[in-house]
Amino acid sequence: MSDHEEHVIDRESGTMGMWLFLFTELFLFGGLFLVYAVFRYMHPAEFHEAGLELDTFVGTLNTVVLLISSMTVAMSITAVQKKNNALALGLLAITTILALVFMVNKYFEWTHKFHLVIYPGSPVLENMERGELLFYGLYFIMTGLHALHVIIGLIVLFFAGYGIMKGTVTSERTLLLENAGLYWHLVDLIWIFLFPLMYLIT
Amino acid sequence: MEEHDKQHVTSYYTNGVILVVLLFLTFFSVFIAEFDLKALTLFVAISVATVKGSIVVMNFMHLRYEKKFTKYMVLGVFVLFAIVLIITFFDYWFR
Repeated sequence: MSDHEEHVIDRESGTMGMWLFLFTELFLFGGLFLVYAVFRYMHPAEFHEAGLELDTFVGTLNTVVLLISSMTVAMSITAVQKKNNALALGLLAITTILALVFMVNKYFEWTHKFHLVIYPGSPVLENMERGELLFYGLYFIMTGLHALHVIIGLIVLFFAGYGIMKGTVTSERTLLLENAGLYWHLVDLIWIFLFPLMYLIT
Repeated sequence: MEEHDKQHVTSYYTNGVILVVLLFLTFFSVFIAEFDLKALTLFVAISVATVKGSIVVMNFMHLRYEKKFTKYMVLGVFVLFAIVLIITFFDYWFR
């Protein structure tokens, strides 16, 4: 009985602790969204011009890829709860592949910008209007920080997958996988807001 | 075993339906961005993103099945961010 009670408390505090951590992440990006909002308010025309340079197709593709990967992570939790570990691992493997697709897209997107000599501190960027300079600064910082979170999310998911294989994540003990999932969904959540602000509002 | 009963198991089907809704909203926001809605553009884009975000938080992040306390905590953080945003803009509007 006491064992069971401890287990329940463990689960609840574990979920709450994860959410508290996610709040700090939300405000890390929230601060950048705030800066974006203010600069966009001050330089509306230049943000419009600079936003046109971004490829909406690549942005949309990456949105679709991240949304599907969120679903596969959510499904892997269902699979573990239904004691279907092989399926759970398969779904996590698909998530990994989708995350890599996202990163490869991002790689091509950024290298394309580098070819146009658009990168922080580049001579082309320095001769641009102030608003455009600010837009690209935020673009590189925000998508870069987001991409870093994709990589961290992958590492966290890897540990959850390892837990499934080792038997520390089971249908009775899903907390590690659930928290890894929460982190992954946060990455998706941030992209849901980044995508329209960078690629769509032009 | 009892802990397991407390946990909600979301079916594969439900997860699939949620993805379809999210994809639909994504294509909707891309489609609507083609039109010049003037001042409404920003409003529509942010609104669609907020709906999508809420769907992710409530379903994929299982907030729907969490305790009331956790729900209010999450809501409180988003309200806090909105307040920070509004107060910042009061500064810029009335400068």
